[in-house]
Amino acid sequence: MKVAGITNQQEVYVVSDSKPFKINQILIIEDENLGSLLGEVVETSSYNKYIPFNINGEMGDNNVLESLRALGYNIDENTIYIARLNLIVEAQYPVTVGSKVRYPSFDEVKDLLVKSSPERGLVLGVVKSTEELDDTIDNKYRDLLCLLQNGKVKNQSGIPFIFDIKSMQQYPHIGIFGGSGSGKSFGMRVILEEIMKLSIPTIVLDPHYEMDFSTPFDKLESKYRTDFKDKFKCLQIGRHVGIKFSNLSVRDLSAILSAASPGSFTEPMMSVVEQLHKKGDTYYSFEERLMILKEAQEIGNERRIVELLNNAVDSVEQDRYKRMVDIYKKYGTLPAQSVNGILWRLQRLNKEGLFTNDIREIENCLMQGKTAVVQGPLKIMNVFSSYVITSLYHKRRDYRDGLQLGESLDYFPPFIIAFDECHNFVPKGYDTSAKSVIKEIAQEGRKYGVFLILATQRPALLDETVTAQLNTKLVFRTVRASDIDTIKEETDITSEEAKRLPYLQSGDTFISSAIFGRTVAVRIRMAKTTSVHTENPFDELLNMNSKKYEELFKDIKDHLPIYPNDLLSVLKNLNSAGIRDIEDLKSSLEALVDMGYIRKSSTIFGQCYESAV
Amino acid sequence: MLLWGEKMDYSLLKQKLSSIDYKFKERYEKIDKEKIKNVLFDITGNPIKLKKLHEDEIEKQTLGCGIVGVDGSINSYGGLYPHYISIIQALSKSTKEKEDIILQDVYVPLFEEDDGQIGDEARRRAMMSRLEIEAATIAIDKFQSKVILMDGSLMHYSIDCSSEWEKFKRKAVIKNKIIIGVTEEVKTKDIINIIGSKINIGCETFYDRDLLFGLLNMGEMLLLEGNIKTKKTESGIKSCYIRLSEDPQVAGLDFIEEQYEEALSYCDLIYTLTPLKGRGIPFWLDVVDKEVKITDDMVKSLVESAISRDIRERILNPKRSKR
Ligand SMILES: Nc1ncnc2c1ncn2[C@@H]1O[C@H](COP(=O)(O)OP(=O)(O)OP(=O)(O)O)[C@@H](O)[C@H]1O
Ligand SMILES: [Mg+2]
Repeated sequence: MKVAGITNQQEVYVVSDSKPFKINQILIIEDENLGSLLGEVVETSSYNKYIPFNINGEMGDNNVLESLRALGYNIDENTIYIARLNLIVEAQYPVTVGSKVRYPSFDEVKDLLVKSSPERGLVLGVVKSTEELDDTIDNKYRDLLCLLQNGKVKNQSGIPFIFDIKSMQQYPHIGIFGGSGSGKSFGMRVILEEIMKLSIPTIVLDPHYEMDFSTPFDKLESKYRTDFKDKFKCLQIGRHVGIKFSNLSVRDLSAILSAASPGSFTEPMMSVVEQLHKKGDTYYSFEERLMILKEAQEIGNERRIVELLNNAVDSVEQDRYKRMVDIYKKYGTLPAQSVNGILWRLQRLNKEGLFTNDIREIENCLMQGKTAVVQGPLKIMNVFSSYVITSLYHKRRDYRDGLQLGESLDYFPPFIIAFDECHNFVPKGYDTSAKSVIKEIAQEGRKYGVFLILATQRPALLDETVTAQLNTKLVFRTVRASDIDTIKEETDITSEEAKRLPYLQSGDTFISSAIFGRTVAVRIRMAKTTSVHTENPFDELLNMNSKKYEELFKDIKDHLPIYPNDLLSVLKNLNSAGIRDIEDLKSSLEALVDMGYIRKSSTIFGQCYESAV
Repeated sequence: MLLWGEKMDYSLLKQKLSSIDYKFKERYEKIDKEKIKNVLFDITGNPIKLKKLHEDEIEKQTLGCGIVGVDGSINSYGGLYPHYISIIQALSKSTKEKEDIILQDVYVPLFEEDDGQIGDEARRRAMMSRLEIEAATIAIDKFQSKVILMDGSLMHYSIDCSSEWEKFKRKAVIKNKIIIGVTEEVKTKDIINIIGSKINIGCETFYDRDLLFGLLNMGEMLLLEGNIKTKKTESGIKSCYIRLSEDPQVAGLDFIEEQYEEALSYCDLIYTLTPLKGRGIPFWLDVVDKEVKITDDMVKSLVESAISRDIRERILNPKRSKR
């Protein structure tokens, strides 16, 4: 390998006549004057000057090539490989043309590529195109992980990418960007596994119900597995955790109620909440006000309520009707239907435990250095997240500020907040319940040891101040031009790399980090655990179907052969609950014929279904 | 003067070009192919048919040692004469051997006699010819191959550097290495000199290539036998015309007189090595040609890395790049 062509201080071309180059490969240029220079391959090509584009022109004559072969000359050996290299550090003057180029040894690139140790940092994957370093790599960095390539498990090859989580103090927050299926969730899972390994308190907001770590990846050899059962807890909103009602603002409350029954939440319902909800309301005070209003509206007019008030038997009843009069005067004109709608929605949520539970379980997890995975529908999650993040963040902040002031408050640990679909929580251009607190953490969280890991398919829709605070960004395959533009603006990804973004494989990512000071191409390692619902939906359908028919066949076996006259009695005697009527039974039998369980033959009594064997 | 947006008018130019087309047609109509064939083949004998060789025949004829191609290149940097420098290369490349023989030199007109542009060009050319001969001489010693193809006529070596050429020729003959010059564009007037008067064509405006155009079929070769005397035969060079591809234009082959008979036996090989659709020279010479050329970018970076800027700007600064 040699430097060729025109060089300058930043960029050189390297040619090789034997081995093709790999993109992102690190090479060493031995310049007589400048010493050893590190460069990274940013573009590769190969070229055979004797096989030109117009194959019918100059040579295309295969006979001639054969004749040359007879003379001992093989034209294919004339393929040369060309790489464009960017120097990692700018040289003082242009690189000497003709300088030798070679593969580095591990020690020569260690400082460049390894920023932390496997015990201290997050082992996220391997740096791409570092396979040539396998021979010289320190033992300490060997065999730390497995890779998943086209469904096959492979051992580590190349230098591990270890994220120095300690530098988050200086360069806080991680962003994970990429289109659908590009590997964000998978990457997030790997990051969280590593965080659990280090027992860093973390709360994960999981609107997709996918961040469960109890199922090991079955393809992974057991020696690479880790049991995370004691390291995390899945907590469902309503069942395990909830919101203290009195902490809710009007807006939060409307958001929750509308989230509880998406689509049917109307404008008038919104104004019912706005008018009836008072600051500091408990669940019961708010519910009672609604109930009284509902009753009043059923009574129908003020005169009759006053009548009831006058006829009240005791002071308790008197009180109630007095308030009813008040409430009716103020709110009686609100549409009764909407009042009703709000009331039953509210009561349903309460029954689900949303307002009876609190976030103690989450706090406990964090205190124990565990990961709390909070699950719930996206819309409720939005409100819940604003609530939970605000309270946790304030706890931590109060503790830290208290320390400063010499007060001794209860310890509350630093922690990480991780969530997917973050453009829903902190969108560009409009407010959500969670936006202000997340923005605050993006800007100030570092001071208190509170960090964000945000993933989204649509970086272009994410609030810019937050994007700008993400000091490390993992960029997976991205196709949409507007997102690529955002990525180009917000990272140090070069335009060559940006061009490659639409073509990345799932699990390949550019990590652009202030910690590294440059973009590193990484293959994310195989996760040790798997999400329960990664089954291909089509496989799932197939399995479902075959199970269904297997059972039907078992059921029907004893009734064979079945003649047209028997259908009704067979239907009555079937245990299978799935078969509804004669038509259904017929088509199921036909399906069984198709699948080869039974066969059909013509008899004098008509079509007959009989055993296939 | 043209203003922006106005369209340049080309109609006058077009007219002139069509009248030139007419003149050419008129002139070349005079060439009567059949008549030339009659007269010419009478003197030279009929063309010889060549054949494409099989791979085993190729190996046998070359004794498994491959063949060698020799070519040179000149690249210049700077302005007009004499404010430039040229980088000259010559290359001997064997189909068999791994190592190439590459020789390099630099030509600086400002260090030479100041006798005008024509003298300068001749000198520069001579330098390249000498370098090519040297590369070919080394090839004789170092490479096993029996045949050495040189790009271009052998004639110009005897003009450009006669003493080197004579030495080289003796060595080739002694060591029995067959030297063949392959000319893509025949520039001689030998045939016209011989038969011009018989077919009423004056030699001032016509060249051999005009007469030979389309005269030979593909794979045919025309020898100038026995008593035919030309400038070349006087310098001890024998030659023939040959059509190697679908292109109706003929190529020329030059041989050293002493090797003439044996050299002719390699013409089938040369024919075999020439692509049908190509420009009519053996492919190996194409390869050598591509290899020996330096790109302008390379020249530029070479010169600029070695010659200091003030010298470049004062003496060599290429006007072109300033435009
Ligand atoms: N590092 C990896 N190694 C091997 N396979 C991977 C890797 N990352 C992702 N994949 C494959 O790609 C699939 C999709 O990845 P993932 O679910 O993470 O996509 P996503 O970016 O979260 O998409 P969406 O935005 O639609 O949720 C995975 O199920 C897995 O098969
Ligand atoms: Mg996902």
